[in-house]
Order: sequence, then structure tokens, then C-alpha cells
Amino acid sequence: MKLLLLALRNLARNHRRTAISLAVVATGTAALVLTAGFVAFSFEGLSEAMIHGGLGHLEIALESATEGRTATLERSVSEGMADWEAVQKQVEALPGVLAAAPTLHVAGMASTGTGKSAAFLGVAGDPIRERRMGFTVRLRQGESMADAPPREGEDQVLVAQGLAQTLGVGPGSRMTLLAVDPEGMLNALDVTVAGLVTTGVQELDTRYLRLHLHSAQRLLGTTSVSNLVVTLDRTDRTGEAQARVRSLLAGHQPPLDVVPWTQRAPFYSQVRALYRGIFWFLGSIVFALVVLATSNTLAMSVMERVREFGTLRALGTSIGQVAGLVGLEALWLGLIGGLLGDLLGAGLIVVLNGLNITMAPPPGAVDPIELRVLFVPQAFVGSVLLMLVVLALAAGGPVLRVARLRIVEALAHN
Amino acid sequence: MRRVSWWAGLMVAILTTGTAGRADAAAAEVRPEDRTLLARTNLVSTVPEQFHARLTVKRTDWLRPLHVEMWRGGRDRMLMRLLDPRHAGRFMLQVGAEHYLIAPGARQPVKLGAGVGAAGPMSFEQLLGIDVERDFDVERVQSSGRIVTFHLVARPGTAAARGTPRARWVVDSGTKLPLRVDVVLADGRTARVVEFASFLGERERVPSRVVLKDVLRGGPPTVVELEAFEPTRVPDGLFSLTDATDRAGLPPVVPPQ
Repeated sequence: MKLLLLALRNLARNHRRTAISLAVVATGTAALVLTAGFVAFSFEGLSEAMIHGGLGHLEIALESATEGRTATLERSVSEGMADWEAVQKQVEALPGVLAAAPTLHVAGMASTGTGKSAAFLGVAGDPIRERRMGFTVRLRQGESMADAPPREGEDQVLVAQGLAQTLGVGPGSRMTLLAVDPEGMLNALDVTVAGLVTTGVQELDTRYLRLHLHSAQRLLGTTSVSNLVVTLDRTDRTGEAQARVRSLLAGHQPPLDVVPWTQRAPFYSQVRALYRGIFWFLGSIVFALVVLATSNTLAMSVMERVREFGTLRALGTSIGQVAGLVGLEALWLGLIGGLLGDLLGAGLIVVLNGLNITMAPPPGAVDPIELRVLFVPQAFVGSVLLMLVVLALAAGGPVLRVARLRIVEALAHN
Repeated sequence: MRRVSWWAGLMVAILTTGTAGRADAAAAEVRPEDRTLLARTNLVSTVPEQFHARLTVKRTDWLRPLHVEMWRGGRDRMLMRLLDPRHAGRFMLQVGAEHYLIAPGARQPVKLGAGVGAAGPMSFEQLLGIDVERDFDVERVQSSGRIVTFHLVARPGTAAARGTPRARWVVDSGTKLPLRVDVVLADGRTARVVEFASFLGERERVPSRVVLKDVLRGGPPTVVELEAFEPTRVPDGLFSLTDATDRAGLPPVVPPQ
């Protein structure tokens, strides 16, 4: 205990050197805390955007449709679910399930009266349920589709901006959708453009359109749906809910599969892996910088105090006690610097979030991103612990040097 | 001497090449009897210009066969109606070189691309083949016994040039009936083979069983069988792009048993 206090008091002997060491440690800690907060914000933002952009937390589809094809956003209606309403009722009765919405995927050609045509990828759903699930439609012009199933001849669509530009359509325009039904026969349906939307992804915006489930079923001449998309009250319970839904539907014929959103969106795992790589790279740089800077400071401190250590040894202090003193000084630096870094990091997070900084859209995206940094408690604790480890490593060299000192030589040292 | 023999060699080579070129050109010329054979086997012109027919389309990987009713009202005007109640109100229409889909959900006929099948994998070319006289030039003719193969190239600017840039029209010179047509892409690959497996009779020259093989995509062959054929006067209104009255007046679809 005395050694601990002595080590702390020793730090106060050279204010300037201690301040520099603390600044290095605190800056490194703050950098780690900020990076962790930004990465956490990016993960959370991306996952919530994907879940509430239409993926949901879970997908229920025919096992034959998902086999080897979990990482796809499209399911052919020829492998669609016929008894989806019964399954929907069962799943929505489970605790934690917000809703199970039917989705029907349609691919075909859209054409206008002026002779323009373009391929489209359509997603049809139930607007009321999707609203309950927190699904967001980014409307840019016009209005949303009506909630009620459209009557024949009154079908509406929401067209993505890029596709609308290709076709030269806007709110109120009429166009004809052409698609192949599950039996391979062509069918066509006249629709009115209710509004223009964006998916947030430029590539997808050149092909995407949304329609009411009933309109899509009319176009494809079917009552089946491609899948059921389930949203939960909490994202962190996805695994638990998947197991529960799977056991509920275990005996269903034909067999059904329950796919979590992470499997349907390999993009998310790729971004996560990329960010993790960046985080570790940055962490390694901070680690190396702090180790080099503090080991240098500690080595200088030892060099200046050789005679002091010789005197301590001559008075009967053991090698272990002297070496321990140097090591404890390093650990105090790590602890105090780490805590200061946490404070600095927290302050910077508040300032950055308060500035409402927007960043340019990432490659392929449409909208700019608002810069937000989250408070990640694990990062605050973890970075202090990391700094203790870093300083312990940095003290290795100086401690060995102290341990090798000979009393006579140390007393004669200038 | 050596120089003279070198020059002589060069002259012989030039002369030989020239002769060979002329021989090829002679082979590309189509003999009148081949032209007559081509015209005799062209189903587009030999099959009655006005008729009503019922067809069944089968594929081994389909749950049930597809039943189709069709009308021909001129050399290149055809109307096809799907007889399954689930497809009620859907027609495929060919007017000239253009193809259209008429669907109950669409107010106007929807123009289709050249490569779009009329009903599933079936296209109009399957029924009567291609118009080998009007839309194609003969590149060369090959004979092997009674079997004569016409290598055809689509005339530029025709609809055939988009969907069928090249074709091999294989006929039996004995019966004067076509045996098959190979649809060949511009790069030389064979895309589809349409076999005329049987005819109603030698006089009618109406194919009663046609087999389509999709060489590019593979899969089981599609078989088209003629259930009923009746040469009859077909009203012009059935082929109208603007007035659906005659089509609406057709007897209701009777689902086949």
C-alpha cells in the first residue's frame, strides 16, 4: 500500500514529464473511445436501416426457396407460401413479435404510353402492417399508396426516383407492368404512380418499385406470397425469437425455414468485418504510439533517478521493491491517463453530437449521413484496462534496467 | 531460272485462288428447283390463311398441360387465347411483325419484345415455323439424299433479324414437308430447334405435332399438339389493337376436360 502511494507521489515530482505521459495516454484512450462510439453508431444505424427498410428481423419462407439462397432479397413466387395467413396468425400470437407481414416479389417490365420501358424489381406488401413494424418509406414526391386493397383498375405504385427518371413518369402518371406468373404465362396490369421514393441505394433506385400486395397478386394471378417478414420489439432477441418461431412451425408441410436478417444481408457482415478491421488497425497504431511514447518517458525517468535507486538499495530496499515502484508508477500513469481519456472522449462525443455534422453519402448511397458517436460503456472500461496493459508493457524495459543496477555503480552515477 | 519459277508459282497461286472464289460464288447461287422446294415447304404460305385451331402444349416438368385456342386471319395475323380459367381474358396477338399481350388488367394491348414467348416457352414460330421466303435470304443449300438443308440469313430490318438472325431450314425433298428449323444466333450458336414431328396430312400441310428444344437453356422439350383444326373465315376485328369488341364477343372459355 505504501509502495502504491509512494509511486503516486513520485509522479508529482516531475510535473512536465508526467503531464506529457498523461496527455499521450489520455489522447490514445479518447481516440479509442471515439472510434468505438462511431463504429457502434454505424453498426446500429446500418442494422436498423436494413431491418426497418424491409428485411425485418426474421423471414419465413419455404425451405425449398431458401435452401442455399438465404443471402437474397428476392424470392420467386413459384416457390411461394400458399397458407401464409394461417402462419401469420400463429406467429403474430408469439410474445415479442410486432407483426408478420406478407411480401411478394415481382420482376418484369414497366412501360408507359410514350413507348418507354424498363425492367423493374417490385416488392409488394401490406402498408398497414408495415407501418406497425416501423418500416420506412422515403417518399420524395407525391403521396403514399392507399392502405386499403385497391379495386380492379385502381392499382397504385410507388416508383423509385431512378426508375421514374428512365420511364419519364411522376405522381399521377399511368404505366403498365408486365410480369410472368408462376406458371410462366405473361400478364399485364395498368397502374397509377402514387409517388416517388428512394431506397437509399442508387443502384436499386434504377429498378425498384413498391406496390400493394393485392395489386401484385392480381398481376401474378396468385394468392400466394413470397415470404413473411417478422419484426420483433428488440433486435437483440432475434436469435431467441428465431428458435421459438422455428419450433412453432416445425411440423408445417411443406417445410418452412426461418432466416435471421443477418443471413439475408451479407452486406451487413461485410461492413461489420471492414469496420472491425479499421478499428483493430487504429487500435494497433494507438497501442504502438502509447507504448513507444510512455516507455521513452519511463526510461528517461529511470535514468535520471539511478542514484536515488542506488541509495534506496543501500538502505536495504530489495530489487523487487524498487522495480515494483517503477512498475506501479507506470500503472498509475495508465490508470489516471485512461480515466482522463474517458473524460476527454465523453466531452468530445457530446461536442461532436451537438455540432450535427453531416457526412457525404457513402458510395452507392443517396442520402448524406448524420455523424453520431455513441457512448459505449464497454469501450470506456476496456480502453482504461488496455492502457494499464500498455503501460505495464512499456514499463518492462525500465523495470529490467532497475533490476540490473549494482548499488556501488548506482551511487557513483552522475 | 529460279526467279522465273517463283513468278510462275505466284501466278498459279493467284489463278487458283480466283478460280476457287468463283466456284464458291457458284455454290451460293440457289437453283430454281431449290427455290421451288423452299416455297413448297414454307408453312406460312401453304397453311390456310384463315383458320381456327385448338392446341395442347405439354412439358414433362409442368403439372398440367396448357390448352390454347388460336385464330389466323392473314399471312401474319394470329390470335391466341389461353383456355385455363385462371388465365381468362389473356390473349397473345401477332399483327405483322409485332407481338402484343392483351390482359384484363391492361386497357391497351402491351407490345412485346421479339424474344418474348407467346405462352410460356411457346412462340408463334413454333406453330408454322418462320417465313423462309419473305424474311430470309438463302446463304447456301446442302443436300444429303432426300434431306435438303437451307442455310438462311434474316433480311436486315425485318423483325426476324432481331429474333432469328440465322436459321437452318431442313426439309424432306420427297414429301416436300419441313422437318425442322434451327434458330441460330448471330454468333453461330444454335438457340432453339423446332421439329415438325407430324402433319395432319400431306395435302393439308398443317403440322399436328411440333417439338421445341431449347438448346441454350436446356430443359425438357415442349410438345405442341393440334387438337382441332378448321379452315374458316376469321373476323378482322379479332386482330384489332384499338377495339376489343370482337374478342369480347368470343364464346366463353370452356376448360378442357
